[in-house]
Amino acid sequence: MIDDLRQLPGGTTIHADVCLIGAGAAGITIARELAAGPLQVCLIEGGGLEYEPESQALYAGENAGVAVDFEVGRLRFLGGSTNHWGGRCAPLDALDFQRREWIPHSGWPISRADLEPYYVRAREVAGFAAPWLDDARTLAERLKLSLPEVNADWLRPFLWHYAPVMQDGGVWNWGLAYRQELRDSPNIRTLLHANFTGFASNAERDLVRGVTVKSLNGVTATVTARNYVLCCGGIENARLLLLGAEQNGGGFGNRHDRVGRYFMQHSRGPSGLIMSPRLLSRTQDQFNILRGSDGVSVEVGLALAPQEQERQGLLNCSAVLQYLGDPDSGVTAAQDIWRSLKAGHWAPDMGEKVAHVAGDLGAFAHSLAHRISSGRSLALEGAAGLPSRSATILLDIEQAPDPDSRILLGAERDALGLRRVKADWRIGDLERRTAAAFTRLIGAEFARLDIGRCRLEPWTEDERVPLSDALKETYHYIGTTRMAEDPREGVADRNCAVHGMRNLFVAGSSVFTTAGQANPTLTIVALALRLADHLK
Amino acid sequence: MLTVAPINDAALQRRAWLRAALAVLVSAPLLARASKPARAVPAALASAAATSSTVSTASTVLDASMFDALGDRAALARQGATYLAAHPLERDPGLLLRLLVTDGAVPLPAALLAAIARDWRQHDVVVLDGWLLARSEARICALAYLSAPE
Repeated sequence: MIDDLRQLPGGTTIHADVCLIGAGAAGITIARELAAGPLQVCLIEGGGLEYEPESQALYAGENAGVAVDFEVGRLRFLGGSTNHWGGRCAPLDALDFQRREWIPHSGWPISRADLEPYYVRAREVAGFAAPWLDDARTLAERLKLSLPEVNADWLRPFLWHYAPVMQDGGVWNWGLAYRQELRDSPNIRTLLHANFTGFASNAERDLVRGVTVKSLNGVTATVTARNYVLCCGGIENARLLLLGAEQNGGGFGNRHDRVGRYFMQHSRGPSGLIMSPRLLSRTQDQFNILRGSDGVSVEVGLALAPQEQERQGLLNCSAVLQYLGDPDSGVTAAQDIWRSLKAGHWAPDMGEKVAHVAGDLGAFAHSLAHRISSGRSLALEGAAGLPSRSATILLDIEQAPDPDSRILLGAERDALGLRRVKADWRIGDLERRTAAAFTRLIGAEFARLDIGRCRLEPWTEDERVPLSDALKETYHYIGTTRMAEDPREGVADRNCAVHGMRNLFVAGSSVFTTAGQANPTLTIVALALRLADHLK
Repeated sequence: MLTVAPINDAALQRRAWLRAALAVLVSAPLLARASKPARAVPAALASAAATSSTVSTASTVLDASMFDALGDRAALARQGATYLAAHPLERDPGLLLRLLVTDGAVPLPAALLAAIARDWRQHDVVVLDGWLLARSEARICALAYLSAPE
């Protein structure tokens, strides 16, 4: 059932086996898994069914480092931040989980193999019905696509899957996909507009006795359970634990002052430009968003090979190409003419366009031949399909774990009287070095393969250019309650249980020990499924 | 963000390149003799510089390495100056020629193309004014700079 705290009598106490705080990808996934058994679940959501500005305003915060856009990056209503999810999915690499001697504080307490069966289940939860292709080479075979033979010691073609589109045309999101199921479930009690306000604990401060919640119109309630799981995302999980420690006189999962530290995102930015005197038609069919006729929707890019990461001491990193359509191309003019004729009228400036085609017959013939030979097995959409002679290399760079990059409690208080979040986000020089080395490898391989020549963005080579000017946040908030066997290195253990607490767990990307380069949602769901198995 | 420098009028650039490359390859051996009398200029290079086939040699090599993306001879020379500023020990046309053409028995165009291809394979690259170049390309730029009139 779905309840609204605003309509409940004040002072209500709800009893459950498991209390899930936060109804995003992790919270809803765990709730569904547990509800299939005998356990009673209370799923607490601070927002409602739709976006509400006054609820969203609770997410405001302050910055002490590189700017984090707290209110844009997160959404506070059923489904959480999956309500603006791009749907891009890929698992983390095996190397991402390993201790990498060249990256301080790296190494998860679990391996990729531990997570593998959960990745398989996570695909289904994320809505994937179409076949999952293991890698870019499998995709190439399926779509009869010839990928360039890049040096496998340096680079690897990388594949992202896109989650399916929902009936309303939007990207798959947990709040819509599973709303009816939450409504119908006899085991799940979803409580909307129930904002966390505090943990009650025992005298030893190692056992959660209850969670207090409050709506913005002042109705309060208490939820008691055997186990509690924080599922509020990479920033809020840390904030709530810090608030819990403050309210309970210290400790409370933060005995070693690790909560909120190692705050990471994937840093994203353009690192170079590939330019060619010829059209990049063939490359556009290889490195792009590709939609197969059987419903598969994928993106092919490049990632840094694991052995090169180790050899040069680099972070993980991936890149996609963003093609810059060439409006002066005869192919563009021919497309305009064709579209106009199909619509039954002459194109504006018809004479000029015909002259354009005539003046660029080589490119036109090349493009036509390419379209025919490729058999139209792929559909390219938007600007990605425009004839292009140049493309931006857009990087997603893993961040190195840095204990000084952190989430803290700010001085200001929100409408519930709780201290707002404060971020001190830092990006280090290893990120710059990784970007430079990776872009050089792409540039060298593209030159060797006669695809185009590369000009690097100044920030990759010039340490005087602040990284905060070049790289943008991706809203992938990671690492603030990271997994570690040693409580002095992290907040949660291998089962996502908070160190030093007997019945408090954490789900979401805050438990990632390192970030990898892949988008985090699939791993968030896989870890949530694993935690659900642990709690059953 | 970088702006897209248009690679327009490729034929014009190619002509500029042919002139530049011709001048480089003709004058470089002379410079080399003047500066390094103790070391002989590779026979193939000297031969190439002395014959009309130099034009087609330069054209082939430079087209193949897509140098026309980088601009005219002045731009090329600037790249060369930048390279030499970072590698002052190579400020010697004779040395540059020997580094570019290690096997005098191989025809010049093949030797230069092979050197560039080898650089890409071995990731022996340099960044000049943001451009990623094979080291041999950068050395050709350096020769262009050293052979450019004041």
